[in-house]
Amino acid sequence: MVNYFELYGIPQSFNPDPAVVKAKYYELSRQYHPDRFSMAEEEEQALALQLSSANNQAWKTLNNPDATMSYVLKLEGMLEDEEKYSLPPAFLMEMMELNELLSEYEMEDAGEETLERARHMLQELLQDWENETRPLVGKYDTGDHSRLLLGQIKEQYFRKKYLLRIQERMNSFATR
Amino acid sequence: MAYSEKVIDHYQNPKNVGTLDKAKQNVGTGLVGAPECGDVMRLQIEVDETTGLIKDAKFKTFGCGSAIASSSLATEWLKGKTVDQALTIDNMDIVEELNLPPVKIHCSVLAEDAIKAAINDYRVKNGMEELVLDEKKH
Repeated sequence: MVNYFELYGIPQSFNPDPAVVKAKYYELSRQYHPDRFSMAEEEEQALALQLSSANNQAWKTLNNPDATMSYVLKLEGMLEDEEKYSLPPAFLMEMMELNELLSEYEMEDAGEETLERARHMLQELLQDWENETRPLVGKYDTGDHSRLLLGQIKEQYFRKKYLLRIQERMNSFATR
Repeated sequence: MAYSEKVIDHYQNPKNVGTLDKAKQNVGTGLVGAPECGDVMRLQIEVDETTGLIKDAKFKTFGCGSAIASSSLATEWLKGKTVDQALTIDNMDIVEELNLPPVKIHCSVLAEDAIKAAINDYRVKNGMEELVLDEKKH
């Protein structure tokens, strides 16, 4: 498994520099382009193909802050498949409330102001999330790799999952 | 992936969707979530104080069809049981009844967790000791 940060020659971070990531992606795309290996040995071709697909994956990951967060937490051994994780009840309650607002709207016994209220609530939660998360990932990126800090970031990661899920639900209304 | 008929039935006609008054002494509320999928489930029981039987159960689940079906089935099973009997409901019973595929087993675990959380809330409210819940994987 290729480490995307090593592949791009950048430090492991929750906030990789987008300009550098983009430049690296283009550089490696050219470097490992299949056309350049059409005359090469089979083994060399296979390696180029492997690196080219790693490059695509690296780009998809590091170009997206949520995917990057998940990736770094995995590298740090903080996320397990199908792991059980409990978020604070107060947060779950907020998620319940927000989902209920959307259901009210969906059942069409509530007007646009309900959707507006939900949208406003989500905006505030996303803003809070940004404000809480920025200093945490900042600490990591400046050298604090403690389990305590990573645990806090992990909680933020799972909170964001809920917020994104609700956002997705809201966006599905816009297109109907 | 194809859902079983029972899942579809519970999903389309969920039983016992709603809310009980969580301020009441004889109502226990469990609120649990599966962060990886963004699911959130609330399950409530109302205990008849004279008979000690669960006389009503309600749920509200935001999640996939299997999560909704699991909690709907759970509320059906809860009614008429004593609180202690309710504790013996195992997620694998839900899996079997609904024919859940392996990738959806975590939904049944969520429902079992919700039952236990509701019971714990009821116990604490009524001066009983909180149960230590075993760590089952989702």
